[in-house]
Amino acid sequence: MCELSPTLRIFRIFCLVALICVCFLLAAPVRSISALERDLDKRDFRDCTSCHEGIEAISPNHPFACAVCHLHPKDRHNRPLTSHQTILRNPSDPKTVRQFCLPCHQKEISTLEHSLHWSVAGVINQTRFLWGAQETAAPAIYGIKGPLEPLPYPDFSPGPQKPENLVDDFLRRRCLRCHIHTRGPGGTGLYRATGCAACHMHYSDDGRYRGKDPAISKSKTGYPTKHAWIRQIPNEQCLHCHHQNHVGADYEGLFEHDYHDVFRSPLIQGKPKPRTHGLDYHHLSKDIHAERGLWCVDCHTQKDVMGNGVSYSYQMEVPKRSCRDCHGGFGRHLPDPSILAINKEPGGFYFVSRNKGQKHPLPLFSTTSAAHRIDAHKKVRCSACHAQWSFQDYGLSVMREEIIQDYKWIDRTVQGDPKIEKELKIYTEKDVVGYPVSTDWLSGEKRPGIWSMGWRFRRWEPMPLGVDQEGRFAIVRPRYQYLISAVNRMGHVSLDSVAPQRGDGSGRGWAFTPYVPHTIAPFGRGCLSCHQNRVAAGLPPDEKPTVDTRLTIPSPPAVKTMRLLNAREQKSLFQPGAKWHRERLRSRKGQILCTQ
Amino acid sequence: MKRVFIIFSLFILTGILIFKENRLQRPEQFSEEGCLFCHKEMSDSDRSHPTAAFGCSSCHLGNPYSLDKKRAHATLIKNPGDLRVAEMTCGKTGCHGEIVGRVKKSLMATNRGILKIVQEEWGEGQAGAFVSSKPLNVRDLYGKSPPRNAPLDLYRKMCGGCHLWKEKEGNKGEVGRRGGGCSDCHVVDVEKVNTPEGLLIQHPEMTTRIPSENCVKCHNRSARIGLSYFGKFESAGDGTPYEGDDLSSRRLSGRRFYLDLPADIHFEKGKMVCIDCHTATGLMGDGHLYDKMADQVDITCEACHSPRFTSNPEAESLTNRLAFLNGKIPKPEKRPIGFTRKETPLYNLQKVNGKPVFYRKMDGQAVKLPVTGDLKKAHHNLKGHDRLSCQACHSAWIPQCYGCHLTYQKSGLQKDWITGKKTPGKWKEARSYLRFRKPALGLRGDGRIYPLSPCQVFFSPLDDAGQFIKAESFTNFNLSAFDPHTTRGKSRTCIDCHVDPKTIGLGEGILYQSKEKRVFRPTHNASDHGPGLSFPLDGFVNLAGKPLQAGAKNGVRPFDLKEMDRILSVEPCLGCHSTYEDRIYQDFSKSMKRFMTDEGLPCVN
Repeated sequence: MCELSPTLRIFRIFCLVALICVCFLLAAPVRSISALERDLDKRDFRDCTSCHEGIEAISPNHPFACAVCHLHPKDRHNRPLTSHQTILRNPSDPKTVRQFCLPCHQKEISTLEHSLHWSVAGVINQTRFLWGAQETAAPAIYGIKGPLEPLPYPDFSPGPQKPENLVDDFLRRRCLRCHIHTRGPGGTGLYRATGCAACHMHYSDDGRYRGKDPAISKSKTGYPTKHAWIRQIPNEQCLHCHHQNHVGADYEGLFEHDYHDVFRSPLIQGKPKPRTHGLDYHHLSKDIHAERGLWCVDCHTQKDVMGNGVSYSYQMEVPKRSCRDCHGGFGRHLPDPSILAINKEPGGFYFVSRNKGQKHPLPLFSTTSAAHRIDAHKKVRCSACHAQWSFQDYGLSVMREEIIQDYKWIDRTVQGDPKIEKELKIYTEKDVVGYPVSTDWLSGEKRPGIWSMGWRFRRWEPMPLGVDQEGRFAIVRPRYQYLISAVNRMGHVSLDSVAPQRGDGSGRGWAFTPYVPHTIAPFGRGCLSCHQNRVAAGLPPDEKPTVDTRLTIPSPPAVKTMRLLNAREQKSLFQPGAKWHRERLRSRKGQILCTQ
Repeated sequence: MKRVFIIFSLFILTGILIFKENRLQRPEQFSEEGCLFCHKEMSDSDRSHPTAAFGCSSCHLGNPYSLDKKRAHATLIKNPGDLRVAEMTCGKTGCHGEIVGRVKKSLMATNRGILKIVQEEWGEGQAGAFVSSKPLNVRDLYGKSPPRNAPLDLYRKMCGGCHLWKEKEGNKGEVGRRGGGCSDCHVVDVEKVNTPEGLLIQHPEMTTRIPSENCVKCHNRSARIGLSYFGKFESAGDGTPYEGDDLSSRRLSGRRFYLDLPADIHFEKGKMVCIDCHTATGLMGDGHLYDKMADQVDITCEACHSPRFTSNPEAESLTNRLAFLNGKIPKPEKRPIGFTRKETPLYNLQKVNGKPVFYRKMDGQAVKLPVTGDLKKAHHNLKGHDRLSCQACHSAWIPQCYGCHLTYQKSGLQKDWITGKKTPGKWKEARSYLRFRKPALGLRGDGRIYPLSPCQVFFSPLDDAGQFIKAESFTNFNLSAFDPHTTRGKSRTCIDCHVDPKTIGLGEGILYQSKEKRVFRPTHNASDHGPGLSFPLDGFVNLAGKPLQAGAKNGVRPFDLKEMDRILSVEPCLGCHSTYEDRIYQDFSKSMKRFMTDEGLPCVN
């Protein structure tokens, strides 16, 4: 018998393998992909209700066929629509809003595009200024999208990196997860939509659909509660962005727990409470308006939230409904008659809330209280006295790492952002070296590197004072006292806890900002919580402040129209006039000071 | 045949003996202490125990007559300070016999207070409450059938690593440096130096000038006195600011971090260490078994700042001996010296040329001592302030840990520090928040007003399957009053105490006084907090004067209604009358009456 030639041998093996493959294919019990596609081909995706039978009509004002909102005109042809992918999930997304919503909502959309909700200009310009990337914080130069200059793409040039080279990357990857152009990281308390739907389409904290459409899973997360536009927007919705230690959370009495895992508390049945907004929260006293059941939207009107067409550079300068408009104040003791929610009845004034139309008696500015009888207090914001607590987050250290060579983040992965947490968890094992990635919330891309952060200490008790853009005294809070670190892919530390310098060369880029704590109490804090009080005056807390306690001493705001107290104002806090003493004691005379 | 065998065996035996004897090195001349033949370069442990005089075996036992390593070392005790053997070593007759007896009764050896409190947490009727009617000492937990219950398991796992009975061997890091009886404090931890042959030549240094590191290796948790004194406050653990690509280097054991706060003035200005104040009697006990640290501690502020000087011949010899041991402080000879409340002579507080001089024990330097003159001033003699401890006003801060969420997993394994083995039962603590500012004030058992710190246990036991056992869960709130060791020369202000609801014990919030009544709006929201909390975490008392968190039977309580009333009644006046010397405070109730009834006072006109 002659030997087979090598070619023939290979051919024989090939044939054998081919035979086996054919057998397997014929015997396979599942249908091939092409078969599945054939089935789907039979379905026309324009016939939405054949699957989505029972889906809610979005609103009486939008009696349109599904395709009007959810399909591009080019796809609204007669041929069957063969792919679900062509369908727009959210036509109100900023990418498509002009195409779909503009014909009816031209005014709303064009004003919205000038609003801070659209541009996030306050956060962007103040941070860029404090990190030395621009010369002023206001007027705003950059925004998320036009009409302001779009935020530049981060600078990745090699060579010495300064804070100003890193600020755009920091903003994009850590701060700007909350704006209406992105859905953000998702997760409990974080599910939401973009564009108009960010506010007007309600998402519950668990992100589950609760409507009547059988085709939408009730167990999957990331869906609105119903296919319905809402105008009466519950607080829960606002808190999907306005959480962490920001105004909004304070209204509901929330203050972030410390990051370290030892603060996963309290325990319910032996286990930590489920986290909303990526972290657990302390429950502090709520704003009195929240206690009574008022919603954010009861005070924050459309003009506040969606803008009035003027581009503002920071939150405090946006004209808003004031305390005085409802409660009266110095000079005017009655509510603004143009507010439709306020009714005058024989028993006094009443406020009708957008929360289920609840009616609340409206207390008016007391002209007899000692503090209200002092003329100098005309220049004091109501919140400066009536706020019960404030966000005082001292010393923010941030570090961008392109390589993580140790397990230092163990127990410190919970930083209020589920995506960052998931990524950091990978690097908490000993001996794991890796190259983390994180999301740029503006471009949507994932890039090498991750920003981690930690605080020195966070408090709610101190209430230092400053002066707002209208010259009124307001509570100030640190935003922020940055120390910036950067580690490149080779493990080289290019920035080692560097404090940034302001863009105008006026000093360190640490700032305290006047704000309105939404922690209003029905009565003001005591006189001595500001007067004769070192913390309120912004003075060092101890004779010899340490590197850490020094952080409680305010530094000037980023925006030039606002400032800290000057020496004269500090002095008047410590040595108030004779009238102050008289009024304070007159209110006490006759009062039972001692029960014995 | 048999004889031949015996002779042969003897011959072999002799051979072996001769061979072995020849191999053994022997001293050329007779020495009493055979140990030193091998350990010839051994240094002295300290000036009181020179090797030349004491040799080795008087402390380390063993067989000093054998030159065979195994036999010589058979009964050797590596750590003579171990309390198990201390009677035969340090405490043998003629040496420190009396002290060993005292030390064994001292709190650092008994941990009686901790063992009592931890069992009280579980309270009467709770599973695992007291197992024995007599108070337990740590020693009782060693041995074959020690008492067992849940709180004692907690003690073994979470506390049992810090006491004098703990053996010093076998653990790395800080915990490995803890324990060892007398050596725990009196041995200075240094790197061991060996000869190339592996023989130890550097005897561990023994001292009565105990470095504070020896204290802080234990006293850095719970009340955290050992940290606070040096101006360290255990942080929330963020590890900031970052250093290079790592977290902060301001670290404590157990992956903890600290912040820098104002240190105690005794450290900041005087560079004083723990033993400058804490006497031998205070630390090693006075022979009584105490439950509370405050009872054992000997030193008081007054002992130095308002000193009593005497010269008595009995104390003279002791003080001079102690000064000799110390080696740095000038011998008092016949100078008058200060005494503590327990009549311990303070050999470092001497009257020199009629003036009190305080010497630091580490270097013998004299430190400026502000005395008596100050105590005669108005602020130290105000009527109404008689119950204030010095600490109430002069403690700038106190570590406060709110919410201790304790889980006990019955099936998990965790190291028992008493046996050194992992046993079933795993404990874990979670916290609500930390604070350091504005210590609340309240009363200690002895009726003096002290800064308070809370201890708030939320206990969640989990069965083998990890399921919560509701019946065994509980919450328990305690207050402790202690010297935080954050003394500052400048005291807290009048406003700090007479206006601030937190200092009064109500907690953070707005205390509002309307015409008719007081209203308090707490900042911490108990109702939203979770499991069954009906008062704010920082609310130790309510407006009605009802104590909310004084659970332990340690006598500590917040202010009552009468006391709160008295404190708050001063508040309106503080705007103008802000000094102690002010006339209105000479008879305050009379001044108040006048304010309420008299017309034409400058206050309101």
